[in-house]
Amino acid sequence: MTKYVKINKDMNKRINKQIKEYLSPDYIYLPYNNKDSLNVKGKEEIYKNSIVLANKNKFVYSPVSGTVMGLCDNIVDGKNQKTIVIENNFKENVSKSSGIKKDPYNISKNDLIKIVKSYGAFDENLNGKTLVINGIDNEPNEATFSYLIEEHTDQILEVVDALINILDIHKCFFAIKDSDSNNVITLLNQMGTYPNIELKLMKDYYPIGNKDILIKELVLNSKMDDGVVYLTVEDAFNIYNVLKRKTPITEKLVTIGGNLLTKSKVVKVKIGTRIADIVADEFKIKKDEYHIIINGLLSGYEIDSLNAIITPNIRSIFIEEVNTEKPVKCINCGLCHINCPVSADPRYGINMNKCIKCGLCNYICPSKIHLVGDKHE
Amino acid sequence: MNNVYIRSKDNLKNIMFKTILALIPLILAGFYKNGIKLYINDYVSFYAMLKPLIFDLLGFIIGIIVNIIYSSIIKKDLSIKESCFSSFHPLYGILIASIISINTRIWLFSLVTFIFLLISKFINKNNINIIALTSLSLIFITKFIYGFTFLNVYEQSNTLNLVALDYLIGRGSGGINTSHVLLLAFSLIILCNIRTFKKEIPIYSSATYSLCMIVYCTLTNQIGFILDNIFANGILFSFVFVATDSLSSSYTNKGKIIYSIIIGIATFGLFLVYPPLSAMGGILIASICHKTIDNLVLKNMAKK
Repeated sequence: MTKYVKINKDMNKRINKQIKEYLSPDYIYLPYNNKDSLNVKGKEEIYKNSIVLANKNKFVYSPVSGTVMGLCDNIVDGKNQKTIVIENNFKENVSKSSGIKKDPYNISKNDLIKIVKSYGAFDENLNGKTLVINGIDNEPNEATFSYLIEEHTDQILEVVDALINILDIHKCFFAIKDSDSNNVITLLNQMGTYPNIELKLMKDYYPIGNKDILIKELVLNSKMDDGVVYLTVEDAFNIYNVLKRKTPITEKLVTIGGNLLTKSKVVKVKIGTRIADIVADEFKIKKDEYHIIINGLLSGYEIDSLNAIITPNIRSIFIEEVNTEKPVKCINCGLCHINCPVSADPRYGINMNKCIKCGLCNYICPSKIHLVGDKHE
Repeated sequence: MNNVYIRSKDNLKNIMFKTILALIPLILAGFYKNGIKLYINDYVSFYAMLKPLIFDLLGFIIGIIVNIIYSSIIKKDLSIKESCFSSFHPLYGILIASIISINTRIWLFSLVTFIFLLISKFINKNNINIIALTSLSLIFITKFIYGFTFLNVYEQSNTLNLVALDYLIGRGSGGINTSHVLLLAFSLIILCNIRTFKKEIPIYSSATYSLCMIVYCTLTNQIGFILDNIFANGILFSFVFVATDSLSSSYTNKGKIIYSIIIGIATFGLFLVYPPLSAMGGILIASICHKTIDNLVLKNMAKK
């Protein structure tokens, strides 16, 4: 497959070179469902990393130490939801670890699955003979994975190597963009230490960062039946933290940018931080009217206000002045069909069951017709 | 709201202007061949020298007027400025002007082009190739009113023995801007840089037509006419600029190949009947089938 399209990504040129940390918010908001069992009472003092909510084998940990203040509404992954408010006391008092073995990588596959799931590091399939590590950001204007690799190359490679043994992987691909020059050099230098990991330099075309597309590019059809374990570098780093540092996942990297911000930044934030707080403290919005787009300008979704919280699902936030070109009559150029990575035809609904909602057809249409997608599906 | 927050820079207006840019060398060559050269040799007056450019300009203006009229009746939300280039009709106007004979009357060209472009805006739901239809109509009307020829007054007054190089540098007969094969190749290179340009169409249609012509001329002992039959009458120009009109051509990869082959064969067939209408007729026939071709290809794809 070679029909990927280069996307205009001027924004990347404006991203700060270093990761910005925003780890001391005044308040943290943790999404609450009626099905969750609450482990705290009103106005209770809690430690950092203590369990606040539990649902079967899944737990929600407090990213800060502080006081539980009550409930309030916030936007959680695009929908309004109740959230538990924790006032940060900035002491970072940590609760005791629940105890993991001393040799972090000397564990069985079942134990690994149990641990990473309970600590919120990874919740998907870990069965398969091929391991694909995705170091390519899902969208061209995001830089989260690239920065994560740059910052934590050793740790990511170490845990990937360990996972190959624990999960009995036969083949492991580590994919990054060939244009990600800093990481290409660093990884090439380190690959000698990890002979089981095969570095794959992928051409910088959209949507190569998409899970399905990347697996299709890397794994032979004959090997698909044996199963494929897919991890992003963020998943790998989360697993590293859980196994090695014995801490739950309470922080993440998020790309924050957009044509209405003077500078784009990759920010390290606590999960549960309100986006409004980060933007108010770290950015200046150029205009009063703006659109807030979560998880990419091509395949993301829009939210109505900045009163949304950072969840593990959020990769990027864009404050944008959206292109308002009016749609005109289709000119039958076929670009939507020809460039579709899954050979769908959005105009006539052909192969739409294969659609990965990458938004490429919408991007490329010269008539500016909205072909696929809706607000937060 | 939807998930469209970033768009490519391509839009109808810049696609149209890039295509016009690709046409400029041919327009200048047409101006030299059918204007300057005739004026220098005292065949025409100064005013008549400008006739090739007047056709191009008129075609462009008629396209804009049609867009404005259509927008004022149907798409009332568009401003006059937005409606000027809201479709490819200004480009169609220039292309029709490029294809027709220099002997066409200006009033006839203006009237027929205006009527056909305007009507096509309202009723051309099957998207047949309006450039081909208008040009064919002009050729027919001209033929019945005062006789049709692609030759200008200089070519009519002189007996020309053309060799391959003559066709390449625009000495062959054809429409106003269609004769210069080398410049056409240059234009094709420019067009290939436009994302929406269907480059497979000129390649496959030219190949099919040339192959048919080579076989025919070989079998009928007319090998000496092969180049003339391929390069004259604006056939290659039509394959590059007219057959690739995105609205009236197939867009699926296989569809484009089938569509091009139909053009090549139909053009060859019509050439045997009446050469001046061959390319336009072939393109018109293929454009009538283009939707069916795409539907068949897509159905086949969906089955797989």
